[in-house]
Amino acid sequence: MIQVKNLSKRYSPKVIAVDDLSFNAQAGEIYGLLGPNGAGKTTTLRMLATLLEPTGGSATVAGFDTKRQPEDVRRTIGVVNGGMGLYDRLTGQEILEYFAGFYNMGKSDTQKRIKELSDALEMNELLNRRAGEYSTGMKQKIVIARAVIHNPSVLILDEATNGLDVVARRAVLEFARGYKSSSRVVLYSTHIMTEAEELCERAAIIDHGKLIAEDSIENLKSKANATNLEEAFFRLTRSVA
Amino acid sequence: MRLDFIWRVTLKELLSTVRDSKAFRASIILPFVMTPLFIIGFPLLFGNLFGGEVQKKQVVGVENIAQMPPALRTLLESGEGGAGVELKAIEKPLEAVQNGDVEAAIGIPKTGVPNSAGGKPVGIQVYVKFSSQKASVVREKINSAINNYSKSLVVQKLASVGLSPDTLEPVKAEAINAETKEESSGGIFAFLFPMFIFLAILGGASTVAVDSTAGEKERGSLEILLVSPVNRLEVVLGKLLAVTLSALFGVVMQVLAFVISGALSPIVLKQFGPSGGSDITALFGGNLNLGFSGFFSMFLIGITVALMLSGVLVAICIYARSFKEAQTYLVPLQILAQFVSIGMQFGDFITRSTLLYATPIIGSTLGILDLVKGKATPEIVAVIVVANLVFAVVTAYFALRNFSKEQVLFRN
Repeated sequence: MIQVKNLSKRYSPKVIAVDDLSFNAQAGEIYGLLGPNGAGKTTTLRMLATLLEPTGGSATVAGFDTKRQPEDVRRTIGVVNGGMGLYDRLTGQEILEYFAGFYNMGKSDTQKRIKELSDALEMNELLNRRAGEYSTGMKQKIVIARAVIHNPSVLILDEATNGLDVVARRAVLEFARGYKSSSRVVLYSTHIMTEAEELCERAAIIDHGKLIAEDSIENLKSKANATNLEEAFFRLTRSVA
Repeated sequence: MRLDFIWRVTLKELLSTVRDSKAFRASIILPFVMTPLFIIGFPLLFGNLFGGEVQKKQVVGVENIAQMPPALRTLLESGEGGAGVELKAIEKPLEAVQNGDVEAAIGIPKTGVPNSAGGKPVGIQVYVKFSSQKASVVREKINSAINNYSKSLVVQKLASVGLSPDTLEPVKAEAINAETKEESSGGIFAFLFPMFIFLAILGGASTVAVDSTAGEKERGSLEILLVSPVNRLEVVLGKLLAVTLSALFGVVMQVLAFVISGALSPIVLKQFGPSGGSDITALFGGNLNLGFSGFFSMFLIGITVALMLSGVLVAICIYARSFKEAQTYLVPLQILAQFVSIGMQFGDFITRSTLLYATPIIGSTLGILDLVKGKATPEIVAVIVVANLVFAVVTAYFALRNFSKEQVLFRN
């Protein structure tokens, strides 16, 4: 569902954020994109979301080429990033309706979908309050609902648990786990290895923009002869350095 | 390009702005406070102060007071068309005025002042602070008394040889005010009117421009918006439309404030005379006697300036990383608008040309000033409007260009 082939992003001759990166994420899985801060994870995701144009290689998302069919790509993805990115003076309902409008969802479909999400995320009482009044956990619920308002087949979560308390963090992980299905993929980017080990079936480890390893979580651990993913991550990245 | 997407972006920005109660209230309240204050409040305040100064008996020091002719003393103490002055004997007139012991001083020569004409002219020194507007009243009283005294001596002398006082003035110059109604109601501070319009535009547009660009970047919502199917052209046009509509709201409020203040000013300032206070009003901003076509032209210029500045604001603000940074970037623009407007007090010395009217900001400032003074023609307004529209397209292009640049959108 997500095919990344020799993807590169060079900001200047000396600054290479992503260097010849390749990986594939299949429908029905939660795929981890793992690496330390500054490894190139966000740049990769921004290229997949058509926000940045690659300087080399290519990527397809749900069969659409990110360079040639950017709008089709954006129609099939939902993104949750580290920042909440909510409009403080709009209510949760207004925020969800605003974004639903860009996916040409009719009024009744939008209301039906908001009701579904509201029940699933237990956020009924939030919808008519302005986002500026929300706690961090409440905001995260609206952020997730906004990302999946159009039922995207690709859900991208970029450091989505940053700054969340343990309850809100757990809610995000459970939502991601529940969202994957035979026709959907969740791309989960994080620098927290315990989260990735708990959530992902397969993962790509990147550092300094380069792919260090790509495999199932179990294989990554056995390749590095490690008992957990964090240890495997350290061994794999050190062996390359 | 999908118009419904553009409108969706615009509506969201406007809703967000309207709910920002402080900014929204400011864009309504400011014009309706500042404009009446300028057109009615200042004339009322300074008219009363000026009138009070005329009615007040100022203390005037006199050096060698014993040498002052009684007739001159009477003229000084009784005054003409107002209160006279109170005379006080002093020895050092310059120091007395500089120290503020007296408001003005008169230096009578030790040899005295003649009480008849025909001899060698004698100079009477009048000590007063030239830069003090308050002192100008007492200066006028002293000058008037001395001139009247001098004139009375000449009249006596002429009468003694059987001549009429008119002998000295066989020909008189009579100045006729050739100003139009609009020009005479423009006021000497009319050059500040364009500044009111620009500040209304910037005040209305800045909040939306900053919030919808740098503010969205800072919150992280811009990135989320751009990963939805709306394209960047639609986002920029939606934001530009929202900024322009907010700016126009500011222009409408400002022009309305002008109309209402202009209509109220003769009523409120009636106490200053049968002219409905127009004399005192003319000392300040004037009362904007424009009529429908004048206000319509001002509104037309305002709309196109708003369009042009909206592009500039969005292009600048999207470059900023945060709300605060964007506000810092806008300060020079606000200073420029004020600088150009204040420079227009010398507008009468500027040679008008089509090129000058077509110059951004300067042309519009001159145009509004000409409208206020009744000098603007439909051709001038057309040049300004067309030029502003051309620049609006250019600035919108730069806004879009900045929106398309990765290094601008994701600048860290």
